[in-house]
Amino acid sequence: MVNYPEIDKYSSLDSPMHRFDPRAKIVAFIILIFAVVLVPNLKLAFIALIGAILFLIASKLPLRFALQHIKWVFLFVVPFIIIMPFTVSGTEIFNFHGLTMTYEGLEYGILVAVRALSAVILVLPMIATTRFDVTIKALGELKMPNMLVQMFMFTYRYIFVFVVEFQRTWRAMAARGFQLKTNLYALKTIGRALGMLFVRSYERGDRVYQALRARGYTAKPKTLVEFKMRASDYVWTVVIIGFAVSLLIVSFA
Amino acid sequence: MVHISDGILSLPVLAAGWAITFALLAVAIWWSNKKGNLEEEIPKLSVMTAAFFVASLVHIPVGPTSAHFILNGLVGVILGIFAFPAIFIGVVLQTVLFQHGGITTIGVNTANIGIPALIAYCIFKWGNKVGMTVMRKELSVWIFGALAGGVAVFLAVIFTAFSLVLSNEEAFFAIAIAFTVAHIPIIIIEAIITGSIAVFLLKVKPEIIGG
Amino acid sequence: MNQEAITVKNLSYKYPDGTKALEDVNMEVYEGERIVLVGPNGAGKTTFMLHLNGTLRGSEGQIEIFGKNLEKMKREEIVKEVGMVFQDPDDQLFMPTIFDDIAFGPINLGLKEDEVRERVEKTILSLGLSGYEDKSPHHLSFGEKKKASLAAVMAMEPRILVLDEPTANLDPRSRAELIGIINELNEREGITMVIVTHDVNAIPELADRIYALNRTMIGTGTPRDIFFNGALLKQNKLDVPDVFKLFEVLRAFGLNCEKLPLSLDEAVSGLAKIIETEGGHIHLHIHEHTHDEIGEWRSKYEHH
Repeated sequence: MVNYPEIDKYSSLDSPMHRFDPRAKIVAFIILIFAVVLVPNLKLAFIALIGAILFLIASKLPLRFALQHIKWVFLFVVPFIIIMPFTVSGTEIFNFHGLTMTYEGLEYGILVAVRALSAVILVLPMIATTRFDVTIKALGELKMPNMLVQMFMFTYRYIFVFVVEFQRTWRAMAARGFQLKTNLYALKTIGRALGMLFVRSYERGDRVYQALRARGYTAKPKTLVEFKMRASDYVWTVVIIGFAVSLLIVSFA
Repeated sequence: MVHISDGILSLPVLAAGWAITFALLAVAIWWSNKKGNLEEEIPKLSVMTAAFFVASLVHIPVGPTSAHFILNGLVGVILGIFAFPAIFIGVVLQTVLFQHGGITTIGVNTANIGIPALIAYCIFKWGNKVGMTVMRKELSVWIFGALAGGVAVFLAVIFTAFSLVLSNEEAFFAIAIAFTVAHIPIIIIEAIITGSIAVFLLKVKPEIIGG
Repeated sequence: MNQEAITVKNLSYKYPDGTKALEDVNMEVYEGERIVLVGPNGAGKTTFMLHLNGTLRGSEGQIEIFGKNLEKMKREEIVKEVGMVFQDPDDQLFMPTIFDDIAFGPINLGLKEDEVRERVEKTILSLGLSGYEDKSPHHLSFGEKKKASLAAVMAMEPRILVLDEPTANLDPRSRAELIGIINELNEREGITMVIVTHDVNAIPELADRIYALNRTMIGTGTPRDIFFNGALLKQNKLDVPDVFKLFEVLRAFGLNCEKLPLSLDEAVSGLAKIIETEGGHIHLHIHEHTHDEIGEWRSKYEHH
C-alpha cells in the first residue's frame, strides 16, 4: 500500500521557522546542511547535532511527526555503525577470532551517523514549516530552471491523484483475494496493476495537456508570489549561515 | 535503498555528483527547448513522473525486510532522455517529502539512478530493433524489458557502491560489497516486473513504449 | 435574433488511425443560447467539443467563433472567448492550490497582478468557494472540485462556455447546485453554453435547444422536439426524462394529458391544470387499450 506525502502537514503552525521567508530559509539551511555533512570529527558533529535539534525545537513541529520523518535515516546508517568498527584499522578495542574492532572505526561510524542525523533533522525546519507548493514557488524565485519548477508543481499535484487511483486498484485486487508475496504470480499481478497505472496516467497526461492549453498555457512560469524579506528573516539567515561558516572554519582551519 | 543519506560521502564525490547531474539536466532542458514543444512536454512528462513516483512508493516484501521499487529501467524505457529530469524530480521529492536520501547527495543519487535509466533506454530500443526481427514481438519486449530493468538497477547499485568506495575506500569497501549483495534479489525482481510491465504496455498502449 | 456565437460548417475529423470520428457536422449557436449536445457513447461528443477551442483541428470544414474563423484566431484570442470545463476535475485542477489554479488562466491572458487577484476573488465569491483558496484539490470533495474547475475557467471571463458532462458523478444536492450555477451564469452574464451530457433528467432545465450527435448531427430542436422523436431516440440509444416517461404511462392509464411534461416543474403545473379542468381530481383507470399501450411504451424504450 502507498501513502500520501504529509511533509507539510504542520505548515500552518506558527513559529520563527514558519514565519521565516521560504527563499532565505532554503538557502540558509542548504548551506548549513552542506557544512554539517563535512565536519571531520565527533566533537563538531555533536555541536552540529545540538544546533540541528535547536532549530527543530524552534520550529515547534510535533515530536512524533519529527521522529516519523527522521527514522528512515537510521535504516541507512545502522549498517555503517555495525560494520565500520571492524573495517577501519587503528587502535584495537577487542579481538574476536581475528575480527578486530577498532576505536577509530567505531568513532568514524558514529561520526557518519551523527552527521546523517543532523542533516535529516535540519530538513524538517527547512521543508516542513512551509506549504510545499510555496516551497516550490520559492525554488522558482531562486532561479531554478522554469521547466523543473513547473515539473515540480504538476508532479506534486498528480502524486495525490495517483495515490488515490492506485489505492483503489489495490483494494480491488485485495477484494479478489490477492496477497502481496514475492513470487512470480504476485509480481506479474503487481506488474499489471502498475502497467494500468501507467496507461491511465499516460492518457491523463493527454487530457491535462488539453486542459492546460484550453486555459492559454504557454510553458512560461507564472504564479503569483508574495515573498518579502523582513528584518527577522535577515537575522535568521545570518544566524544559520553564521553557524555553518563557523563549523567550516573550525573544521578546516 | 539506492538513495544515499547525507553525512556519508566525501566532498569530491558530492561535487562530482552535482556536476554530472547539472550537466545532464542542462542537456535534457536544452534538448526539450530545441524540440520547441515545451507546452506539451512539461505536463505530459510531469504526469508520468508522478505515476513513477507513486509506483516507487509500493513496498514489496523481500526476505525479512521490504523494499520499494526503483523502476529506473522502466522510466528510461518510457521517457528516453527525459528520464533524467524525471528522476531528478523523483529523487528530490523522495528526499524532501519522505527523507529517503539526503540533500547534499541529490546530485550523486540522481546520477546513480538516472544514468542507468538512460542506458536502459538504449538497451530496450536497440535490443528490440534486433530482437523483433528474430523472435515474436512480445517475447522480444519481455526479454529486453527485463534486461533493461535488471541492468538499470544493477548499475544503480554498482554506482552507489562506487560512490561509497570513492569516498573512503578503507572504511566503506566492506559495506559496499554487502550493499551490492543485498540487492541481488531486488535486481531480479525489478527485471521481472519491468519485463511484465513492458509486455502489458505493448498489449494495451504500445505507443507508450514507442511501439 | 442574436448574433451567431458558434458556427460549425461541414466539419469532419479522422482519428490518427483513420477511423472517422466526425463527418460533415453542422451547428449554429446564437449568443446567450443554452445548447445541450446529446449522443450515445462513442458518438464523437468529446472529440467535437475539443474542436470548439481549436484543441483538435478538423480535416475538413470550418468553425467560426463570433464570426471569426477559428483557424485564423490566435491561441490567446480563442481561450478568451471559449472556456472549456472538462469532465474530470482532476484533469483540470493541475496546480497545487485552488487559488493558483483559478489565477492560472487570467495570468495567461496577460493581466496585471492586481487584476488577476481581483478576478480570482470575484470568481471565488460568485461560486461560493471562499475559504478554499489555499486548499489543495486533493482535500476537496468531488462536487467542490467540479465547482473549482468551473471557477478556474470562469475567471477568464469567456463569452462561450463548453462543459463536458457537468453533472456526472455528483450527489443530488451538488448536481442541483451546479445546474443552478450554470443557469445563473447564462442569465446574469449572458454566457453562451454548450453542454455535453448523458443526464437526460437535467436537459429540460439546461437546454434551450438540443443537438443530437452520432458522428454527424442527426437532429436538432427544442427538448420537446427531440424527446417526441421516438425513432431518433431509439436508433441512437437516447433516453428521455423520467417525468416524461411517467406521464406517458399515466396517459396509458387514462390521464387526460395534452402536453407531456419534461420536468418536475412542468409536471406540477400540468397536473394542477388537469385537476382544475376535471373538477378537483384526476381519474386513472385500466381500459381496453392500456395493456397494449404499455407494451408499446416498453418497446419504445427497450425496457424489457
